[in-house]
Amino acid sequence: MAENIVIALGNLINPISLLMMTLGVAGGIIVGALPGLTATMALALLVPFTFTMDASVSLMVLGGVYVGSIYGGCIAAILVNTPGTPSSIATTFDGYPLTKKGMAEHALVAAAVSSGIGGVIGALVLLFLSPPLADAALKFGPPEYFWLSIFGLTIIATLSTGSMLKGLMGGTLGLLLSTVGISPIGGDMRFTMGFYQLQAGLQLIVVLIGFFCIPEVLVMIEKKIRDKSITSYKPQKGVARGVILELVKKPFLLIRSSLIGAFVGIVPGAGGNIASLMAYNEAVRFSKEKEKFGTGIIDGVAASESSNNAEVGGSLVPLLTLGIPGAAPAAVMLGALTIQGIRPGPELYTTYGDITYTFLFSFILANVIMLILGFYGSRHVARVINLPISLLAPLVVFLTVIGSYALRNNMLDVGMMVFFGFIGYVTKKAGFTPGPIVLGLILGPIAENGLVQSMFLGQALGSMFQVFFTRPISLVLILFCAISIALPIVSAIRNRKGGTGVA
Amino acid sequence: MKKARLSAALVMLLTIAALTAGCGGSGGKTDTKAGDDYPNKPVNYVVAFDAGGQSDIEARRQQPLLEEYLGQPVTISYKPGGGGAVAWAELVNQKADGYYMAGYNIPHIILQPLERKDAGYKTEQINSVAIFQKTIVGLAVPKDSPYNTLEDFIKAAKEKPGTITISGSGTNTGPHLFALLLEKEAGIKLQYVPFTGAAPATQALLGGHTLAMAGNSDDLVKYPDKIKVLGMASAERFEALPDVPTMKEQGYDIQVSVDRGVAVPPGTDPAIVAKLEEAFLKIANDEDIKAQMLKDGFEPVAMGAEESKKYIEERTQVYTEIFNSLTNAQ
Amino acid sequence: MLNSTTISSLIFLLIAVAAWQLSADITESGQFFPRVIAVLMGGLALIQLLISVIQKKKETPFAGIDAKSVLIMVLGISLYVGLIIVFGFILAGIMFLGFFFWYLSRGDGDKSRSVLISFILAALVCGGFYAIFHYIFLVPLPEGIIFGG
Repeated sequence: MAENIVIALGNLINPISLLMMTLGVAGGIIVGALPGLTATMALALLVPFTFTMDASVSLMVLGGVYVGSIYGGCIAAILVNTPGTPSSIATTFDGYPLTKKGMAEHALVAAAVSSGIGGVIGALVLLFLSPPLADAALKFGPPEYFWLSIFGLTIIATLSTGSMLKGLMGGTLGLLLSTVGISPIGGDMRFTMGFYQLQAGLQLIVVLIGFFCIPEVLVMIEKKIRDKSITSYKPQKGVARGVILELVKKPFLLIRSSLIGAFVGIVPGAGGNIASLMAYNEAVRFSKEKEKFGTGIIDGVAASESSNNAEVGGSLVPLLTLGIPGAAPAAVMLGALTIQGIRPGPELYTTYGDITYTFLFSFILANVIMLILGFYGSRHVARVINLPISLLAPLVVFLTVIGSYALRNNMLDVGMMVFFGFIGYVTKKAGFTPGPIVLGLILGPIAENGLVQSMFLGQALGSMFQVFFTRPISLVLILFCAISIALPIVSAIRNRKGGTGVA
Repeated sequence: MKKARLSAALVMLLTIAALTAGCGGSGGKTDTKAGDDYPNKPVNYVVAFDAGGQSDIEARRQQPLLEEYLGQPVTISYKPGGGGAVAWAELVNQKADGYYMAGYNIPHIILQPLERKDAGYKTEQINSVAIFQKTIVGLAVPKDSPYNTLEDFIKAAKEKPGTITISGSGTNTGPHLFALLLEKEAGIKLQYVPFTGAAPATQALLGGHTLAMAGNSDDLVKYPDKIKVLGMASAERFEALPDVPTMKEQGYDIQVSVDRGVAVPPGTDPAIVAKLEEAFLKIANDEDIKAQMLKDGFEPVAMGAEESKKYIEERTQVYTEIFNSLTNAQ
Repeated sequence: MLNSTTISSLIFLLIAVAAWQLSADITESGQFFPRVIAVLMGGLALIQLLISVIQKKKETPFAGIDAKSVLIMVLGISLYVGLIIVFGFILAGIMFLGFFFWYLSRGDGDKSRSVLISFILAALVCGGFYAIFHYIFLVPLPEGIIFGG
């Protein structure tokens, strides 16, 4: 093993490889920033280019692309409220408000630094803790997935700024939308209304762009004066330093969010979208300034971005040890590995040890490169906001159309994106925020699959109770759910008694 | 003043539209005949599942060789959804000009139109060019499972009907069919638990959440130290797993496989089909490719257009019969 | 009291009922989850409806906005999608971007953009993105029916 490490470090110092990896990170950032183009797509697009490269270099490049694209998603999320990738959904909650306050650069720098730190933590977890964590991941069976999704749904409470009732209704809408398509058991077609394309269900990205982006574009148009931009952004001195100082004062925020991200990433099927939402939720729970979340504070951006980059490392844990991808982009990397003839599993650390260790170390480096690129690029990228609305609004629509088409080369997706965009605008006006809806859409399939599969298991065991309520990890998750529901109720009661009457 | 601007804009729009419609090149949906110059532009190769999956890996394996044999770039695009149905429904509606082809899977293309009111396509519409790969379904249990042979397994299932959980990818798919056939042939009752894909089903087995799995051969070869394979649903022993007896050997004639092929829209000029077939068969017979496939747990196959079409017809009969008898029995 | 909350609650109620009805001919195992959700949604919608009727709050979500422009944008975007299907990506893009670059800057005094500049900008943007996606990323973009796409 030691000689593998030495070889790996040697590979790393190769300037050509480093250059390729940096290009990979940069390319990933750009693709991730374009709404509709996801990390998965970025990897799928670039895999063919890596065939001609040597195995360790191609892995370095792909790792760089993966890391860059997950970070890149925050750019669109912060500047135009559109998650560039589903992992950046939670970044919009405080990122866009920051932009509206003229603090776009603060948000972008915070995102860059948090992503870098989170990514490195995730990479370290991958390097040192893979085997035991992979075993832990296997212990997640259908009941655990079910309770995980229920826990995820309790996040609706945090995301319903305003009316809890409306947030819950939004959540049920999302859950209902998630059932469109083929049912997991029985294979029936549900709610497809004769459109065969809907057999696949509603594409998350399409709904995301629709619900998050189009309404904001229309809000931009609402103002009568349009030669101005959304807000004017003037580069200020010392923003970056200020942000870093602020983040350094809150180490627990970053560490906790990163760990949440890494662990969620390890669970196959739970990706950056869930990781960032959970980290955001926990950031709110542990914060002493809960009301500020959603109005534009750096903590929100930091929580979301550090966890989604840590998730990247986590998603590679089951991939490298078992060949089971922890998230969709990891599946593409599996494909790339297979084509190179590399089989995941114990062999990876022995026969292919030099390649594997090269990859693991480069992964840490990729996160650092991403941090540097993001950090110095923030100032310049933030200037996009200075474009007058008359240019920005149509351009954003243009980009969203490309993004939703690029998904499956299907105009129906574009049509649906626009359709949901208009619905999103109206629901926004009626007081429904997009967060709970999207959460329902993401968690619906996990909940339904978990529920139905667990019911089958219960049938075989002869006891539903045993399957749902006696498994150790399930019990821990149920406890989390209980705390998650109880805490807000308890604090609401306490507030009422205390007399300050926070709504 | 404003009116003038508005009309200027409209005029401009109309002019652009008219100009482009006028010099709009070929237009229309005529089917191209294969001249000697086919293909003369990039060919689109559609993968009906997500990137990174097995179908994707196969396509990528073929891509460089296809580009060499066809002399044109081959772009791979993804249209996942509905277990492949979305891609195949689009396939049968595309222009039959030879520049659009999609990978397809059996039994999916047979079972989906059978069990769904409107899958968007019919089995007969799949215009097959070639079949190049086969993966056999087999029965697997964890390494530390008390069942060491198929007989042990069946005996246990008989003693406690409905308690042995078996994971598999999907409903009315190859693995599911395997489980149903096993129940029928052995006279036992299992509890099939469908998962959204091969990876989750494997995860369930490895994590001990189900007692067994009906899995594809490419998954079964990946974990030699973690699982035991009790039987394969093929006519002869599977090359990559020579120590595993077939179901037939052990007394249960069950043969289920997932076959991968590539197809073009119906009505494509036979000369174009022939050219594509030639390229795919060359790849399928390439020793290097065959070796890679075996290593990954697949059985290389090389069936051309005619042969694969007959195979689909034969399989359709077999699977339709099984499907009808099983759904009536349920 | 017909304010936006009341209307939206009613709509949610309708959706819940519709979901229940539409799931009638699905097998039991596929029906279960959507119906549970439909019931939850219906219940919540009813509660919200009652609260909003009792509370009688005045809500003006659409106050103080440039409604005409918003509507034109909505129409424009919808038309854009149709235009892409017919004319293909580049042309539709030029038409859409060109029009809105011009239209949205009207009435801004000397900052308003001429029709010509708008369309030139649009052409540059469309051409540029098409080049990047088609040649670099190798992602196909819609060709348009009139071009035989």
